Amino acid sequence: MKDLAEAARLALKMITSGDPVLYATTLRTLLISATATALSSLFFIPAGAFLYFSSFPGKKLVTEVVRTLYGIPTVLVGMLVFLAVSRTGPLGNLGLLFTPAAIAIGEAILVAPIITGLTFSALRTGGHELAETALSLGAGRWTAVLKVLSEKRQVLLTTVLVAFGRAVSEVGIAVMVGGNIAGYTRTLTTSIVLAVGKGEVARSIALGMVLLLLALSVNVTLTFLDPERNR
Amino acid sequence: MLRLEDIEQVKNGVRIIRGVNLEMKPGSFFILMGPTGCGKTTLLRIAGLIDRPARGRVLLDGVPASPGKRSGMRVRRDVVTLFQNPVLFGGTVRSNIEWGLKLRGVKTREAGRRTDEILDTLNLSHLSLRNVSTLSGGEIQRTALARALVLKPRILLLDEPTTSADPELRKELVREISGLHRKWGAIFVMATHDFTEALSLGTHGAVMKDGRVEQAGAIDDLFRKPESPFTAAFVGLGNVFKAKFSGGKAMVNTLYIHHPGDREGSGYLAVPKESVTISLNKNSTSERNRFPGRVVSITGNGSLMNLEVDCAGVLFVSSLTEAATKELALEPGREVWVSFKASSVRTF
Repeated sequence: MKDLAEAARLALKMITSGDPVLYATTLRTLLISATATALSSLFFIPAGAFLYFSSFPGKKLVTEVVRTLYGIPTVLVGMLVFLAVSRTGPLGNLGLLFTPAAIAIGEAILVAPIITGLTFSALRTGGHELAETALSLGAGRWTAVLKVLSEKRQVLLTTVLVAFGRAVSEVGIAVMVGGNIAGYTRTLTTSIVLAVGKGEVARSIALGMVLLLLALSVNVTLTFLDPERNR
Repeated sequence: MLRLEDIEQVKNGVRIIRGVNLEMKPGSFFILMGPTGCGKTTLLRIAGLIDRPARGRVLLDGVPASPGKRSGMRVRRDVVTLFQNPVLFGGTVRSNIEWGLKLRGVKTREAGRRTDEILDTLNLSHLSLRNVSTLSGGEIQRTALARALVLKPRILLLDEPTTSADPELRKELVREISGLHRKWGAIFVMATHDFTEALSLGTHGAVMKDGRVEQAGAIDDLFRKPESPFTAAFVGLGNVFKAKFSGGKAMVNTLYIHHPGDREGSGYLAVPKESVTISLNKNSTSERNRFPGRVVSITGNGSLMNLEVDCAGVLFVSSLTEAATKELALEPGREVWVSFKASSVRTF
């Protein structure tokens, strides 16, 4: 217990004194997760909108599959991305294995079902009515869909933040396709794995505190964005 | 000119619009009437290019317009629809009204001027910067109307715009809609089941039943010369009976009713309830159709009463003023004479 308290004191010192490795790792983690979330949002917010506005046989099944994939294990995504970007894989010639880009791609895939599903759910409340209103005032189909997305921007931002929270806290993909290379692909989560393995209690607690702080910031932002709270 | 050509619509395998053909001329105020579920809203949504019909075409000045097609896009901005339960976009009343103008590329200054003008016309100026989440039901309705009207479309489609309004607001909305129609001369198409609105606003109209147009034409003709028992009953003629026609007379139960024309065989006849006179003795009128009867019921509120009189098993409805009801001391069970002119009888 005494050792733990001492480790926590050291961890706080590392955070407050601006430990360069800790800060570089945090920044890298933020950049990779933000890139992954942005990339995924770019494709899968429209995918969620398409799923909501279109009608095709099997739509219900697709929606259910998307929802089921919310909890897809990160190691499974990591394995699939590894197989794709490894030297013998279909994307092997791009040289992406053990790069931050590979982690970003993996995380983008990981959060894709969350973004698609939550976009779909966000539009379920009044999406059609808003689109029809835009159409009734002379908008074309695309303009109407864009107007609906703009009207739902607050909920969509929440979706993006939830996805970011999932991306920033995952470890399986970062280890498998990032390789945990110091100063290059090492993220907060992989650093914790390594620090715990090496018995560096203070460092692992410091890293854990930063990760917790990030998750907390996302949650606080989500709380402030909640339309019910602003009512 | 707006033309709906051979429109069919199918929903969940059921044909809800069946071969509708309608034409609306510039400057006309077209009323779509019919019972709930007859397809008025579905037809308006097709005419407003919101939904694509399963068959048929919407033509604006002869140009086919279909949702999602380029030709549809060209005319889409000439057609504006106001839904029964309008949805406002987030933001202020002003931002809602300006949205359609910005969509059409109207310059900011001009958009502002037109917005101010419509806010003033609809007495909404004081709400201009109010967030729409704080508006009452009536204010939402008026904002939505302003948002549609500010675009000055060539065709404005209104789906029961006054249904959710209270009686005061309803009168106000009808007055404003009527004034704006007279001012611009655009085609207004309105779905309603309120006859007062239909008569006070409409120039032309159609009565719909089960997805078909039962009768279309000038609004006066719909009310005065219905061509089917359904239209007659729907427009509130009050007295529609199955009859056997022979030698210039129609037999309804045991009553012989004089009517114009020389129809023979089976059919229907209708007598507008406003044409049915009630008197206490046989000789007080000179009308050709006179029958003794007994008052069954007196209903109504305000100044106009509906009187039901049983004449040998045929139930006639007469529309009387409250004053006349009192003057004749009418009450259920009272024996009276029912009379109406032969020329007021419609046959189908």
